Amino acid sequence: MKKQILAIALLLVATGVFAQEFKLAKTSGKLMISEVNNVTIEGYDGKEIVFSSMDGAREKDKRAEGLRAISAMGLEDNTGIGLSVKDNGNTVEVYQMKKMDGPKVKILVPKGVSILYSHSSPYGNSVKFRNVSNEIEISTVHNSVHLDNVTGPLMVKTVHGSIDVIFGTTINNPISIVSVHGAVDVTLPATTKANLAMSTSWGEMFVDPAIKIEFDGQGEWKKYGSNKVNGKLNGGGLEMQLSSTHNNIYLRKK
Amino acid sequence: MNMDQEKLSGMIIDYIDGKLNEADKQLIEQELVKNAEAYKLYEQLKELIQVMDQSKKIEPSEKLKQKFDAFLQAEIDLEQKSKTVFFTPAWYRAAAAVALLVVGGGVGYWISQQNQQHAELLALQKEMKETRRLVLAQMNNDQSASQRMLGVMAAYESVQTDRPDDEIVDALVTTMNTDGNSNVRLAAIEALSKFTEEEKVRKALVQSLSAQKDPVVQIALIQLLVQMKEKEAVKSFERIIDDEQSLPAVKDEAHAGIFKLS
Amino acid sequence: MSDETLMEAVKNGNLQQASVLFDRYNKRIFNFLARMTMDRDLAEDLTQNVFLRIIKYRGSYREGMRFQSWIYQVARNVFSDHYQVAKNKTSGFVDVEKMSESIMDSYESQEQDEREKLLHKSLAMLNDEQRELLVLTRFQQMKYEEVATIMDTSVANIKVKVHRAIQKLREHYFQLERI
Repeated sequence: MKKQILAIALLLVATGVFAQEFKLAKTSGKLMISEVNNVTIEGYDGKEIVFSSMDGAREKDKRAEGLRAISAMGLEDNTGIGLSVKDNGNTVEVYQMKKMDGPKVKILVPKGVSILYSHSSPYGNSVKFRNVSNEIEISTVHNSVHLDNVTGPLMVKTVHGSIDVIFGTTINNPISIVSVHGAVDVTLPATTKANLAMSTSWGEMFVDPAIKIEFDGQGEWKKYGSNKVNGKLNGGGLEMQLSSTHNNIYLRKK
Repeated sequence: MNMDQEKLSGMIIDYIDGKLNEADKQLIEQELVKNAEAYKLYEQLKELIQVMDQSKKIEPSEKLKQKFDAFLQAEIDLEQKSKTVFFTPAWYRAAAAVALLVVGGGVGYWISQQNQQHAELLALQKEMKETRRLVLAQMNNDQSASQRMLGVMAAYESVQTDRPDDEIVDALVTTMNTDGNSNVRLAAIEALSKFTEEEKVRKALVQSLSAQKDPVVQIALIQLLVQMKEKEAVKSFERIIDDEQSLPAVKDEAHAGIFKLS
Repeated sequence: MSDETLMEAVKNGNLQQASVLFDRYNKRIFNFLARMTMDRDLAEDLTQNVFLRIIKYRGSYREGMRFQSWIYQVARNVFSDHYQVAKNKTSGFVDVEKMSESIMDSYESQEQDEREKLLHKSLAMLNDEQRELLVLTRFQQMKYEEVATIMDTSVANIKVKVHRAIQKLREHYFQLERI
């Protein structure tokens, strides 16, 4: 019996199923994540920010034993999973040690903590947010952004990436989603009350027939090469701006 | 550790409130162990903060709610009367009359208030000023980009196109040029597009183009300048086309802009 | 429904919603004014006045503005207007003994009662600004950011001022304790 347990334990360690974790007690303030290439961020009911590596235990570098990992920015890996986390009290800053690739990271964030994600290098993969009911600010150059079951407030901007957003049942003011080259794809409850402003210069706009837009005035169709729609959903309410310069905008019903 | 009294007590207060980060927490704990003066200060501050935190809420009397309800009812009646010429149902008037009787004194107070027309007008002007101040403060909220965005939108809403308010316009220009969030800068540009008749605003928009580094904002600004038929912008467009740092999409937009303006 | 949505509704003519806002805020505003004026009856009148202004001037509420910041701003105006009208330029003149009797209910614990009295006496010795900062941040548990918006200054500035006010209060409190 004992041997069996030991064997299973060894197997688990060998395949790296044990995700490594780093925790930080926080229930308010702002989590600022910079240049983390491959990350999933999830809201939950806990009282700690939990960082975990989905790659499992990092391969031990024999040569690095007794040394500490540092980077050109003067960062130090204080989490054991390739991230540098700096606690400033009201804000928490997170950086990735390696410029390219890096760990596949999952971050659990308590409900009261707002999140700022910024990424500018071309080495990113994608960023995913799930079940977050607090303010989210995202600024990327190359990364695509996926948001699922979020409430906003939402301030998302990317140059090359596409932005996919599926809202939960409630939405908080304001929503601003902007891409230059990527598609903007938004799914929301048909009952959402909003002042909607959609614009694209070279793309097209597609809207679910179940979503009724009451146009303000006549709408400024094809004015100076740009294509703008201003209108109200269900009588108006929160501010919602969707824009893609070169790609399409999709507005879907949940 | 060497620090003045003010900094020390400030840190101790944050320590008691649990607001210090790990490093500062250790620093203070060490100080409390070896410095008897600091420890005494800690004990006193702790007691004081405890007394404040445990201090009881004071309950208003029943009268407050009654007076408010009576006033609200009177105000609703007033609103209805001004809206419709039909007479209101008798029971409704009766109910209002009873409400008035119950708190007669309170209503007398409201009525005398209503007579002070002039005083109210002054107060209203003051309130408008306060509104503007709050809008400006919200645009400076360094904690939350979405609050700043709402501030920009409230600013946009609070100003008439034909009577731009200098303070608000200046604040929008500052936000357009210096806000850390691109979505907020975009909203400021959108808001400023309401005042493109103003020479000052046109100038600010042209100047801003060379200060913007984010392609998202650059493109929006180029499109607005083209829409304004602002010939002054052509030079800035040319600079963008010559700049190696510019993103191709931004250069395309600038090319198209020059074509449309000339 | 959020405060802001309710206030929007009031602004658009649905006055009945104001009673929800009253229920949410009347105690907080009353407590704020009671600690500022150190006078229960006066605080009730002024609280009433705050809600009167909110309804009368509903048109000056702007969409997107935080309702909490706005109502506290109105409360501060009502407070300062009262003292200007009363020609009582400073509210610093208060009969401390009478005041603490008048604003406090009786407490179960004798000791807490004593400490509370001491606290009110020391609070009365602060200037208006310092007292206001402590009332907002400690008694009303408002965040520094919120107070910074209401007072139109930076968070860092508020923090320093609150620390100074607590330090000042500590001096008065322990001086009085020795008497």
